Amino acid sequence: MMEILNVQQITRIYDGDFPVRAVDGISLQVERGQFLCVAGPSGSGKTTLLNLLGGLEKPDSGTIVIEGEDIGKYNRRQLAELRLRKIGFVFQELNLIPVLTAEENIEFPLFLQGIAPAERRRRALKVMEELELSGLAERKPHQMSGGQQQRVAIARAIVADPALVLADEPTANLDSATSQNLVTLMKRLNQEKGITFLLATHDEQILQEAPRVIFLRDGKVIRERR
Amino acid sequence: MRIFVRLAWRNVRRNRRRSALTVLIIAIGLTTLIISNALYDGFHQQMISNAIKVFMGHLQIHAAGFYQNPSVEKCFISPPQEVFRSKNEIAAFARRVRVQALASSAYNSQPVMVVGIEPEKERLVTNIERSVVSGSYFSSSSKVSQDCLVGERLLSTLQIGLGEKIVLVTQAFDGSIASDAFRVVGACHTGQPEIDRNTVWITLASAQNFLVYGDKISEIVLLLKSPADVERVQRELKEELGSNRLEVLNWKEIAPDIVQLVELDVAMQTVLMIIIAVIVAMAIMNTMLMAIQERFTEFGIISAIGTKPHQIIGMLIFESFFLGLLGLAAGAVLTGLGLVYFFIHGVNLASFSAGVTKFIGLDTTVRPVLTVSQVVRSSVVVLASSTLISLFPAFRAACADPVKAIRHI
Repeated sequence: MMEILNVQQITRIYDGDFPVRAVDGISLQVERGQFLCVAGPSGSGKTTLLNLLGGLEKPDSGTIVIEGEDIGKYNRRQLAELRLRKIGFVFQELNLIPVLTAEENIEFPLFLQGIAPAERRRRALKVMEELELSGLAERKPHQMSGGQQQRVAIARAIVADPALVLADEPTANLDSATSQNLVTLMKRLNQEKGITFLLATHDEQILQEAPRVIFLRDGKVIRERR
Repeated sequence: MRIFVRLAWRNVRRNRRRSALTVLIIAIGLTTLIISNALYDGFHQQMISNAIKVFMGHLQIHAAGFYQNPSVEKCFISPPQEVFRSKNEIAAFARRVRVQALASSAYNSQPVMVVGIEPEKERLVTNIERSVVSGSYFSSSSKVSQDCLVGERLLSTLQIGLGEKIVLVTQAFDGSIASDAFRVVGACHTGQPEIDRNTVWITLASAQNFLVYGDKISEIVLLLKSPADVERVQRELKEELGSNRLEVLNWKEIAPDIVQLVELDVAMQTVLMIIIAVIVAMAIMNTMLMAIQERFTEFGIISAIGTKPHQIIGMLIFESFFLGLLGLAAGAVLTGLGLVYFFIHGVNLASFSAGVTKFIGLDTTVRPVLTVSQVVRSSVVVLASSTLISLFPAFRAACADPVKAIRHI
């Protein structure tokens, strides 16, 4: 399978009175269409790793290559472009823009890419139909449940066909049934559409079902399960 | 950019109470600016108009040097009246003789300015006829008569009444002492204490006879249809009349103190405009900083999904632009109401009138004068200050580290 992400020996140290090695020499390869979970307790470096992979932070050392491009030398603008074109994000909460409807939220990355309104709408409606969100098109975030908001966030993350979707504890604030539904949805999208997912979580239920899991502790990979 | 415009508009409506308060501050700022400027302009216009209509006219023509040293020798033969009649910009003109003299009654004496006027023409140029508060205006314009009008206060200084005589003594054109008695037929209240205190009007023919002037005069006073034409007509007359022999002065040159007063007021208006612009800007900045603080996580999210800093800046500038526009709309309504009130009632300066009229001869009630340029300038200042001030908070939001922003709850 084609490699989509190649990470070599990346390190991220947070300076301060007591410097913290949040990510400490992690290497990782992810192939297109994989569903990978990053597990570990709080403070193990999951979020920092995802931020580094998503170009939200720069590593202090090591290389990150996404679809053959080393993003280490990218400036702020190039990183924004990378996030826009190649990466979809799903955060823990407050994912959506409160003043936009579900449909507008989903269209937002397409708008940023400069796609024409008709095409934007067509693609947003298609994704909403696939994720069974059609009935929520005109709702604003405060008119939706937490689970519905996260589904809209996933729709927004995949609508622009990114190379990689990074989800940082997307089920952290959801009840177990809603969490299960969300994970099932992501796995379906992974299997049916071949979308590459990389999830940070410590939800045991998700980890049990994940085909590949890497376990972090103190910023290091301590174990990998396939 | 359309979605950011839409986002900006919806964000304005997001916290309606805060937006409404901001809009109200902008509206009050704009209203204060426009009304105060309109009142200032009304004050200036009234002051200038009064000064012109009381005595000065828009333009005066004298023998060269008369303005600096108004002596009896500095007189001239009036140019043909066709010179003035041929100019459409000139509404009216009148010839005068002007000389310093000593006025005496049986009880007192007072240095005065004697003005010889053409009664029929002078009434078209100045308000002299309307300023007669007791007695009557001259009945004849051409005949030599011994009638005179005096300033209201001069009457009491000389301790005389209507119908009584005063004696004017001065040096005549031929070097002899001119002395003659004139009967007071009317008292004038012009509103300018200086004039009311020491001016005597006689007819032009009487003055020419009194000073042995023949057909000579001291000045020609011109009233124009529009003040905007003053400089141009002055230039044309200088060319036509020859600047060596005669001087053609406009009202600004004759009364530079009024010009200085207006300039001082304009400087104060500018200071007021700056203060209001700063207040409006601070209100907007406060609103935008609060909005950004509340939405910091949101900026992190949209930045994370690929929104570029300039797009965030654009969105926030649009937000403050919309607040500014709403403020202008609300300000237009408030300003309209305020102007209607001030147009009807005016601003009564009665408590200051004694001081004010002493200097400039002003009515006690000032009404606003609204000009398009003033409204446009005030609106642009308010809108620009409200929009540009958001650049600081906008840069702050756009340059925020998305990771820190997302964690900021």
